[in-house]
Amino acid sequence: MSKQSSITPQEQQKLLDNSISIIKSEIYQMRKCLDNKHKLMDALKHASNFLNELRTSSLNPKQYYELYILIYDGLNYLTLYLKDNGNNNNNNKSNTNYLIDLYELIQYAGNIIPRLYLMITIGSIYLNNKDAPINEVMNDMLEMCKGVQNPIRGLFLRYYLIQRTKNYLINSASSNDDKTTDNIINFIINNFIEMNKLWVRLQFQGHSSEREKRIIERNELKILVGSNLVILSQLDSINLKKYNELILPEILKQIINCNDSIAQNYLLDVIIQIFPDNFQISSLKIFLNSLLMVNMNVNITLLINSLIDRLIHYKLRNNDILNDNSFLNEFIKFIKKLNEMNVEFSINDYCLILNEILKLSLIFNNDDNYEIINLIYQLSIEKYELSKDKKDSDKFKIILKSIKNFKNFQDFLKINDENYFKLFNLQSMKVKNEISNIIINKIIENNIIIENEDELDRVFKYFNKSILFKDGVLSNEHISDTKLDLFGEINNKTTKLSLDDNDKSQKDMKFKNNLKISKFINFVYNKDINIQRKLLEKIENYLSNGNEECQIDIIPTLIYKYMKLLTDMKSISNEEENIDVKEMNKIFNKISKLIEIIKEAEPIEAIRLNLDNAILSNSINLNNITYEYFIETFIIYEELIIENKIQYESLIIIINTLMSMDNMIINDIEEFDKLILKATLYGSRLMKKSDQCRAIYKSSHLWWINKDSEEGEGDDDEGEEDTTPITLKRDDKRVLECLQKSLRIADSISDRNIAIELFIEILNESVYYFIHGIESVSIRYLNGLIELISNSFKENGRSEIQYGYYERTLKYIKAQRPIDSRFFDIVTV
Amino acid sequence: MSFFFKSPLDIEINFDGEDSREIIEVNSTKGRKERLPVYKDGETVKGTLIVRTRDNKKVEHNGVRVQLLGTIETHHEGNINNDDFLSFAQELAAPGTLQKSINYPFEFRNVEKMYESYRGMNVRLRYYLKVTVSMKSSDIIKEREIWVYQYSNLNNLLAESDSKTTQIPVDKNQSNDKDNNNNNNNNNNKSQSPPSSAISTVKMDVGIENCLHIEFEYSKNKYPLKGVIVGRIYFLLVRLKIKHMELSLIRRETVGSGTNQSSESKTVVRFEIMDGAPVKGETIPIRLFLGGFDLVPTYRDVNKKFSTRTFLSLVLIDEDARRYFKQSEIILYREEEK
Amino acid sequence: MLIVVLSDLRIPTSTASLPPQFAALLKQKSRIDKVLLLGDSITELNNKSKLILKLELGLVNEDKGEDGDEEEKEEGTSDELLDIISPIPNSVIKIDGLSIGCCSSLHVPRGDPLTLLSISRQLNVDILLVPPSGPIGKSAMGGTIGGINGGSEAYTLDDTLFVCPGSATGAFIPGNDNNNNDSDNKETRPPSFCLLETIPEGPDNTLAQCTLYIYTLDPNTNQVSIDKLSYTKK
Repeated sequence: MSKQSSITPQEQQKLLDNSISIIKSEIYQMRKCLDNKHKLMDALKHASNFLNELRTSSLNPKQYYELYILIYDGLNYLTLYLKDNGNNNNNNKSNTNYLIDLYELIQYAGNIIPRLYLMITIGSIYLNNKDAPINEVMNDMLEMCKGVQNPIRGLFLRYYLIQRTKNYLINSASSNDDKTTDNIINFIINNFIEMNKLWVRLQFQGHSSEREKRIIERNELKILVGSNLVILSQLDSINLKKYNELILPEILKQIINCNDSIAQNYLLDVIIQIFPDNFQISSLKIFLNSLLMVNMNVNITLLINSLIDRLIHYKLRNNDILNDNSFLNEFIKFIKKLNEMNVEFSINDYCLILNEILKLSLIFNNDDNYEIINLIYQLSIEKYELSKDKKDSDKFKIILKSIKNFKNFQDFLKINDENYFKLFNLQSMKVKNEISNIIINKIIENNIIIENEDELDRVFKYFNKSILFKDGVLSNEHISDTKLDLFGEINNKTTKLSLDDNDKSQKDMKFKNNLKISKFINFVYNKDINIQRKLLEKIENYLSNGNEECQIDIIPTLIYKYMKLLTDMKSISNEEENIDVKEMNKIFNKISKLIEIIKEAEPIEAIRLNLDNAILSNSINLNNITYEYFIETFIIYEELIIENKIQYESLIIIINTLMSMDNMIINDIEEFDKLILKATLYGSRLMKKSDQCRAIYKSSHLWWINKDSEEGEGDDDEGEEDTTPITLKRDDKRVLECLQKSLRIADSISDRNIAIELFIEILNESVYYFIHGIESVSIRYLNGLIELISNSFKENGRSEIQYGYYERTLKYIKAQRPIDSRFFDIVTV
Repeated sequence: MSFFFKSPLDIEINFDGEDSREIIEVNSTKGRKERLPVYKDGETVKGTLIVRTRDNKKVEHNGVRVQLLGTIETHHEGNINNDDFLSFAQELAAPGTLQKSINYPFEFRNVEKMYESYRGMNVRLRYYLKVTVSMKSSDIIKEREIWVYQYSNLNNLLAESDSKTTQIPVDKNQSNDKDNNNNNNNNNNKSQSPPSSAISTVKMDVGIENCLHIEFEYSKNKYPLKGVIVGRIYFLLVRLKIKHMELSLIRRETVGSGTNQSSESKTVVRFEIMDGAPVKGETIPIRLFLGGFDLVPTYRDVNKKFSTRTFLSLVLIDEDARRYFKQSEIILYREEEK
Repeated sequence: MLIVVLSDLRIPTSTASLPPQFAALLKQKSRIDKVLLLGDSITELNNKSKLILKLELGLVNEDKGEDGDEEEKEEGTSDELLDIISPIPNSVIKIDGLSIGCCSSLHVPRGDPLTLLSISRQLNVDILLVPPSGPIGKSAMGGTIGGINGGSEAYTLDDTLFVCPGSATGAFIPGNDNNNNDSDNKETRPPSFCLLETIPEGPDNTLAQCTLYIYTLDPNTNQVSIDKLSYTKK
């Protein structure tokens, strides 16, 4: 058992505190000797005393570092003193001799640790002296450091060496002297190699049960090793040639040979982080080759990630500098070799790496990239085919998702996606859906208009295999994947529970997916109506091969696109004064067929679509088509709308829509009358009397229809707001009939509060007609209504809501008197 | 001797040019520092003797004599042996009376001083001037030691060298007696003799089978006293948990000859050259400046009385504080400074 | 309180999403107290519109990647912080002492102030929120603002504030003559919505009041303009 393992943390702390106080006191003594008495020998003795504290084996690296820092400061003081002393001495020669003597003198120190720290301290000062045999001194310090073979002490000693000489190294290497630069590079690399050896060796110190502890310690010490590389990277005079021929091969050789995963992980990453971007690119081949040789516990994937991240940022920062993308091939070669060498290489990591390469490739514009991208997809498939477990397919998801990174997503519509599509088809339905969603999101985000059939086919190719897929009973697949217990049996109870849950989220998921496709359809557009029509027909065709839910969810959007197409056709026809009725009829027919598909599932939606098409066809003056749409609406109303409330609401929309059928009224009043009679009849057949009442008084408007006057007027007088309506249809008698009928129905309601409310509504409706001058609604009629209402209040009491409504109505009537004198005759008491 | 009473005479021995002469500080037997003038072989010892009488009394004497003596004083098994190997004498005054002070110049011309002064554990080799004023009762004697350096250079050293390098296997010193196994049987003794020309590097290949195998190399086996030992240790096999490694210089003093011979060793220098355990393939540098240590040249059979030899010892200490060492002799010589 | 009033989204049938400028404004959830999505003509369709609006505003997760996907998620997506109300037709909401009536296109067949007045009397409200009228989607209130029919509109009549927020997407409406003829797939109805800031009756007997902001996106310049109108309860 080594000493270190048997020591408790408390004891360690005590030792540390003790060492710290010794060091502080010895430093104090040393300074006193230097400052007051210039007793250098005594000062050195004190220095040697505090340096002796670094001989300990009982502290952990952090504690040892605390001592190191104190000592560094102490030796710094000594350094400054010696430098000053040298500078005061005008005679350079004697200064040199003085340092040489000192350098020899301190070598009598019996213990190696103090001896070497002092040697480095004095040697480093010596380096700044031009006449000094610099190279010999450097090599001597380096060589002598070999005497410290204890990993922790050795690492700190050599760290001291590099810290002390740092300024010299950086300053001298920036001179143009090539030889000096080479010496300096060799010096640092040599120190790096030795430090790495020590660092790796630390792993094998002590008992094997302390492995974890060693790993922690090593991680605490890694920066010391890396500092060599950091200084290398700070040398100005290093050019690409030196880096590629001298520095990198040496460093990599050491890193590979040590075959230690901690060292390899850390140091390779340091290389990636500290050397300049263009160095990284020019050395890619060497570097990647080294990655093939590392210990199997090294996380190659992470390293590749950080390398590629670095290159991506480089490219993004300096788009103009980095145009040649041929280095991408190095990555491809790398991953190929990696796979050859280790067929078992984790699919996950393989995909992560491929994905990184893809990311990098995608930020380049060049067309050559498409080949690389396609190649990456191919490599993915090849890897997948090697895999024994077909469930691995999901792991390729990230490769597929990488299309997100297309610099210009339009490119996705152009590339050879043969391999991509193959890979896509290997995926589970869930992943396929996800990818389709990404495609759509990117199209929407980038506002990409799909304007030809090729592009449409390209995109739907993916939708057909995913969201639209007919046989994809998602829930089954899901259960078989996840709900099997240990013995491969489905646990009935839990499955049932989760099935419901599953069902709901499945439905939710499908709705969202279909919504996405619907949104996408908004991006299919070509100005040319013939092409647009072809595009829409293509979509229709795709949908017809899709599953039922998607048809129901997506068809309304497709219908609106057809309607938009019709609107465009109409406006073009208006210009050319030549309406292609035949073609329009065909499209309206298509729409009807589409509505037919969804009406069972979505009757309300179907009604609305029919009515919207009635409006559209009316605006094009295709009255027989308009008529058809109303008939279809009525059929759905009769057959498929069952709930009272919806019946009422549907009927009101029908009435409202009928009111806007201006062209039909003008050109085909007979058909129109049939429709409004039918609608009024529906009103009287509603279940609730209050609904009947309201539907009928609203129907009254069907016999008194006006059209906004601006319509049809020239653009030249748009400033003038002429609101006098043109009367299209006016049948005063029918209007009154409707009001009377609704009044009777209201009166028959036993809940008097409701009856009174309806009375007031009818009063308001009547005032509306009165204002507009419908003769059948007379002052007498209005006074009768008011009397009826006030009597009803007397009988039933004044319910607050209804009475408020009544009062507000009367107030309104009074307010009309100054404008319209007829109102004086209305009794409002 | 007659130190019990106050001597009626005061004798002072002065050397010519003493102020400019090289002085050596040596530890006296009484633990004090003594400062002695240094003389070379063949150098004239010249000076002046001052004899003063106390209180201006007249003192009768039977003659004044000065001697230059070289003596080897050995302690051996409790016996002290003095053996003069050199003796010169000069009569400075015939019997007569002394009053006040009188100066007597003296000179021993070109004295051959065969050996170097030495103060060891059981041996002292000293040169001294002895002034004797013969009296009726007892003689008055005054001594003053001088220190002699014997310089040589590498060439004449080589000429006389028998190039004999002692071969010593790595010894395992059971300072930890608990595990007193017979490991030493396995000692692998493969020491190589250095070539007889003896200036080339010294290489030794030593080890314990399956445990340790090192190659030990240093530049040469002869060093001037102010020289530097430079070398390296190459680790071919390391299965020991080495804690550190040090070099020591051991002076071995041998007294007597034949069956009467006895030796005593003293570690003059201990110098840590490695901290921690190396791995196979590691090379550890050695550099030891000798000038600052209290070393003496190698002497063999000085006047058939004694020898002083110096051994370089490489000591490995493992985590259990066991020591493994390898010794080899180095020849030290005093080189005249340019 | 700050209340956003939206209507007539027509997502996804006529357009893919809210204009990004509006979406950005509306996603500042912390500042908005309520979102009123004025009712569809048929009540039952409201829930679907509401869900779609929530998706648009990122109030529900679009993708529940259960394998801890790196899918970019909006902050606070899981918690429904924003209160989206799709009021039933002819309902009244009382906020800060103001009665706000919400009607659906069901009740306003024509662009006709007389009808609106009638409804305001019936509901007895201070403010009446009106969606674009009927299936035609014309301005519910008969008038025009800025010469564009079917856009947002607001006026005070008979002590009542009438507000039509217009269409939040400005999407295509079949048969509406205001639809584009310039065949560049842009709608001529400018997208718009309203923001109501209500201030309750003060301690010094100031009356409850509100400020109405109408946000309109100019499709040509892509700039959002804001019109302001103040109303004090009588």
